[in-house]
Amino acid sequence: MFDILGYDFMVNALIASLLASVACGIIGTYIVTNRIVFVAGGISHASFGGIGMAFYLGIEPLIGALVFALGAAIAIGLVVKKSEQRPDTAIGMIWAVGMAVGVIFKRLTPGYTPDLASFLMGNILIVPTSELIIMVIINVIILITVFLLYKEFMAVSFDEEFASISGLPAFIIYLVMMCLIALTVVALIKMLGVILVIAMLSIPAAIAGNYTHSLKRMMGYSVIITSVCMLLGLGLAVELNQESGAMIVLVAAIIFIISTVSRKLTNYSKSKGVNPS
Amino acid sequence: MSDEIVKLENIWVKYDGVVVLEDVNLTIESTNFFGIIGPNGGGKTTLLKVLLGLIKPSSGTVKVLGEDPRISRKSIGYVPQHGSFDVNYPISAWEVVMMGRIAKRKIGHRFKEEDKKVAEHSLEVVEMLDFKDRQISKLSGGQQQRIFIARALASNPEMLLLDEPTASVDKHMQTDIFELLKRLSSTIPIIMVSHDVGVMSVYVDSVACLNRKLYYHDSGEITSEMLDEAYGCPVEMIAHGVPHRVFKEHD
Repeated sequence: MFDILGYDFMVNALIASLLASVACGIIGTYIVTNRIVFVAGGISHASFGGIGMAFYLGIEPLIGALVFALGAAIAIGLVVKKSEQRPDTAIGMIWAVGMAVGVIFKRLTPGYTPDLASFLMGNILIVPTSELIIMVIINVIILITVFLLYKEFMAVSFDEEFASISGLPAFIIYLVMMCLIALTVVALIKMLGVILVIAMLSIPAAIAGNYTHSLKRMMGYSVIITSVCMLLGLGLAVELNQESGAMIVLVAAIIFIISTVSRKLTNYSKSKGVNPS
Repeated sequence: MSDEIVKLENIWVKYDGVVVLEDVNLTIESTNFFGIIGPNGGGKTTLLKVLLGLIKPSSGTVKVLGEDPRISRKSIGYVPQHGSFDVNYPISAWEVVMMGRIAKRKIGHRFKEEDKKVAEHSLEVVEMLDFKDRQISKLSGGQQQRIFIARALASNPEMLLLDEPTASVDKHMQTDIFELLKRLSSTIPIIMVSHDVGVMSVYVDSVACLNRKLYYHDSGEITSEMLDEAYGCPVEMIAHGVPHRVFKEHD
């Protein structure tokens, strides 16, 4: 299986997997513990509009995705915290409108348009070096921000009201977190596509949550679990000549099921051992 | 600082034309354990939010610790109602208490040794230091409440404000929480709201009844007339030690 490393595209795919795991594990932990998987879904789907726009304008698709993801992140942040609208309704709208805009731009683009399907479901085998550089930059931004704002993110996530009464600009901190989610989505789009991104932003952190109640450890475990899923999924995709994004998500889902069921069984047998009634 | 920790004058709060607080006047002196009781939906939480500057009254003036509540709330140790936060969040008791120090450091700056000492002391005061590494969901309702009181204390507040501190606590643990608050009230003024008249009336120094209007006697005692007015129906007075009873709710 290691002979596939002989190909340049395979090396890029592996580097991309590991880079994505860092962003994914850290931000995925925030998404899962804050119960905002649906928010992350809204941001990732809305970014499809930016990809369509980028094709229409003839610019780098990830730049378009970045603009739309950040726009959606701020819009969702405003709606959730500052408007009277029901948040899930508004997020659902942003979700679908972004997709609609993407499709319309594709139709408006004259001549050949690259296969948009790879942006929906992802294709890790076509990650050029320029995109690896974007991913490195995104990882650096995420690591620095989370390092600096760790306690602020925790305060706002756990009890926003208390944080703002204490004098913390809770809304701004929430918006910064939304923007980090947008950046993470952009880092993952090429590999997983706007539809499958949401799986890797939730499943690895959910698996990690089975084993720890510490936020820091949950982040660490998530990074490791994400990279394992990515590498296993990628290997299987190459071996079986399958879609890489879909294989990665399936591997993650299977690990989640095994982990959750085995946890339940251990807890069950433990409780039986302690209370033999 | 004046002796008046709270001064409310002619406070009206309306939501979409519905009057939630009607012409509330209240002065609370310091060194006091002050209770506000009233039925659910009587405006207790709204009144707390007015005191914290989270709700601007439709009319009237609010002074807390002699200042606008939006300024003074940084000096208030707030203990929110159970359920306003996610107990399953991966956070330890220690980390929760450290959140009380969050505004003492600039954004992006680390906590200092002093913060840790204050947090440790706060945990000692509530007798929870041994539980500091527990994840918050692994603690009982009463223990969680102690942790949230410790978090409030960790900010070195000038007063404590508690919203239904015993709502999630077993009956026999409620007394422990009240004993703790009673002990704390000798060093820091405390205001708490509760729908539970019985147990609280044993511990507080004075009490007001809130059901849209505020009923308050300068003597600080609960009179059956106050309860009648606040609850809108005759309510028996409760003697010390007699188990409290649940009041009927009125619209």
